[in-house]
Amino acid sequence: MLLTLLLVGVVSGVLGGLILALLSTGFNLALGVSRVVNFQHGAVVLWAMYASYLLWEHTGLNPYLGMLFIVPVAFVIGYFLHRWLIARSLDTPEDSQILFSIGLLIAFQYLAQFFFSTDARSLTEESLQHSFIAGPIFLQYTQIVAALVSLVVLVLLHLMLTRTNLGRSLHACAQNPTGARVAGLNVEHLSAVALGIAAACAAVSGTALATLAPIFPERAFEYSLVAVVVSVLGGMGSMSGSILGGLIVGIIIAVSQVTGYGDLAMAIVYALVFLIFLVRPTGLISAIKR
Amino acid sequence: MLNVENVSVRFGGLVAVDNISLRTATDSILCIIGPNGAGKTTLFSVLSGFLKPTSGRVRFNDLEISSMPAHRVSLAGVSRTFQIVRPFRDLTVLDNVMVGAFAKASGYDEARERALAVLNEVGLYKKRDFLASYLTLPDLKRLEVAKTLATQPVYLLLDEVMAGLNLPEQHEVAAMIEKIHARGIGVLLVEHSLAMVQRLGQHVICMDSGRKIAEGTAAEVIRSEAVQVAYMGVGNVQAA
Amino acid sequence: MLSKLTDSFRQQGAALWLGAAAVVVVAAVAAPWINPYYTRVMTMGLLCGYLAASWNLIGGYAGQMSLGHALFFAIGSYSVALLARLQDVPLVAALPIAVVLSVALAWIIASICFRYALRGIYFAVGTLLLAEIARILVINSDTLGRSQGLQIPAMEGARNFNFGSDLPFFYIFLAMAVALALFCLVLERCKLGYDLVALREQEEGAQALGVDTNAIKRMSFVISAGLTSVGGVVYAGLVRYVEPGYDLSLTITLFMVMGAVLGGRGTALGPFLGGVVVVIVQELLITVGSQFGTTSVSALAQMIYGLFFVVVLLVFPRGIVGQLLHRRIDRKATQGSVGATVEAS
Repeated sequence: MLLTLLLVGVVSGVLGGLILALLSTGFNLALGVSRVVNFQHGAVVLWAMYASYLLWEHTGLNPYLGMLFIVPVAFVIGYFLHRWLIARSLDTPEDSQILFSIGLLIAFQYLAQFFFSTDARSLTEESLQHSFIAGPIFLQYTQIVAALVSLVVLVLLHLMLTRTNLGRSLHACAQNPTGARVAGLNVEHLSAVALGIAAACAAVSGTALATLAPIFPERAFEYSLVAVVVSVLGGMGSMSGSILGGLIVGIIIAVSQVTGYGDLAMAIVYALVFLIFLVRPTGLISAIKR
Repeated sequence: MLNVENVSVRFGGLVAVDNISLRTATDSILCIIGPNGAGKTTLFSVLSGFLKPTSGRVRFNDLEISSMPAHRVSLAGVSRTFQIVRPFRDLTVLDNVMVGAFAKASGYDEARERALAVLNEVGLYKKRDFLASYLTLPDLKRLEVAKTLATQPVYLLLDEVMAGLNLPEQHEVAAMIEKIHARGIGVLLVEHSLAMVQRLGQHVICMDSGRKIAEGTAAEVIRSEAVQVAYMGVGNVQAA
Repeated sequence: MLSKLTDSFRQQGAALWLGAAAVVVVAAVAAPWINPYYTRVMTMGLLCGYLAASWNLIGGYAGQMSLGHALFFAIGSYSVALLARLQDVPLVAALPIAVVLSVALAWIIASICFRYALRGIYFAVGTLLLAEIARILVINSDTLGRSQGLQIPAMEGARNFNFGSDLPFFYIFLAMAVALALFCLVLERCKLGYDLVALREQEEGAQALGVDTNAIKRMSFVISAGLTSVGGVVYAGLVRYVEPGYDLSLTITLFMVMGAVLGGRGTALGPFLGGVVVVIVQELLITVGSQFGTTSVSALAQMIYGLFFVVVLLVFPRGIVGQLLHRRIDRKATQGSVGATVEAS
């Protein structure tokens, strides 16, 4: 009995983990390239959730199709957010920067609350309201589709980072910003691109999450914290780290839920991450690569 | 008496300091020279407690300072300056030195007196109320020495204190060092400038690739074949 | 002691401290005559200033950004609530218990964190995680009141801070603020004060001068925690209700942090000014917002509050008092010493 529970937990966790991985990858990428902790990331996800919901509510369009409109808009917003606002905070003392992005988080979250109030909204798309049953495993289509979409985007992102010039440039900035500048790369522009990509990933994650869970403003802080936690756990600046971290966190949450400790799931995750901070701050992926 | 016994420092596969031994007392100025990457600053870091040796130890009189944390080594009497100066930028010159003075002073008034005395000694008294961030490089070097001097060290370790200074400025700093030494404080210098080594170095050691390749007076060491090879490469020795 | 104070006043300007003293005296005298609403706002302002100044010990002087300070505030407030409900313990007896708990917990946390050299963003997020873990545990505990929180039963007498009116709280917070400000003033000229600034600016440089940086980080974290919990205790006496959504939230931590940042991290008076401004801005926004009637406008007020935070960080990186002091030292130095030349480095 316990084994089947664990199995369900793990499968569900892997699916959830892929979604969390995508959520965090954008954050992690921006962190690696621009060295900025974008604590407002969760708010961007929240807004993507609302955008997705509104689009679906008014046009009846399948959210994953609507997503194709939201993603480019998100990219542009992310790009200019860095270029015009966040870049300015880079002159302030180092630890002020996280405060700066927390301020942005608060501003965006309450802006959302202003427009949408604290009432929870649910995006329940007809075509996704089926279940998938295979033996003891009981899954919702929403979960499966969300996970698949996340996986596809993660793969595309990986290909972009490893096979294109842009990807190489971003990698160079992450490795050595001064060196990159000397080599002629426009680090400010690339940092903004990284945040644009982060926002685009947030848009996809937001759409996926909107189909899975109720939408309300407090989610913003939750998601920001998850992004930070997954990134640190897996490895800051590393995409494979985000995926590893996402899967681990996803599994811990899912297993906790099926074994009845769901409420404490996040506390367990946070405690684990705190330990990682102490022992291996570069994240698990660096331990594995050794 | 500062005693370095068979100290080696390994970073993974790289040997930065290879079985170095040396002794020095407060009565002579010791200069450590050598080409870049010879391991001089690494050795200094070991002497001052910022790095633990992979093997060997450093003894200061009866204390084994190689197993002590950096701040305790400083309190024991072996204090270092940094190659790239580290002033406390948001503090005045006086306050900078007071941080050092508080190490051994028994209260605010005593620390202040000591700090002012030291500032006088290094020639920064007039600038005591300036913000450290406004000082010129020679003055920053003086400040670095002053801070360390205020801790009342037995040995002063100066890491490339002349770096970035032109020759007249170097001679000024050298004069300051000689005055300090005359007070009975032991001085160890990591130095590149041959002029300074000749002026200050009563006891000179040359390092290359982590090893000690020559030891003696300044004249002896500079003229030694091993040192010529290390600095100028094999081909030029024929010319000597 | 005298030379410490004269040096401080000479460097910071007696005007600043005289001005602060004047404000305190005026406030103390005028308080009973002012509309109680304003007194209430000022009381909260003083609380925020006190908390900001407590945070300032670790976040300003030592330069280690803790984002988990809500933890210690909540230990203060929850101690009062629990001890009153479970054992009829009066508030004044709960106070030392709360402080001991905070100090002990802070000691453990600091020992672990600084032993593993948790710095900068790792320390910030690490402390935030610890506070979040505590919040989740509280939300899931019946004894601790879950998310609803706990009501503190009305208990008789001054030892329970039951004064019949809120005015005494104004004076209590004022006294706490004055005491802490003076403490910081003296601290700045003690060895610990100098060591903390040195640690903040150049950690290795400080070690080379004999400063035990780990020990003083821990010391300032512990003192800061104890002081913060006292704030929590008195707050519980005033509000008589504790809840995790506020007491253990990032919201209250940000009050402390923003107060210190706005006023000036690492200054003795800055956080108090910052704390008062933060509360006044919040009140103004809410009041103006409620003129428009709907609760959604209070969300707009919060949003502006968040933006305010952003703007402050850009415009006053040193904080108001911090900027003033920096300029003053600057000016004095360039006018000062005869015969010395200054070149900008």
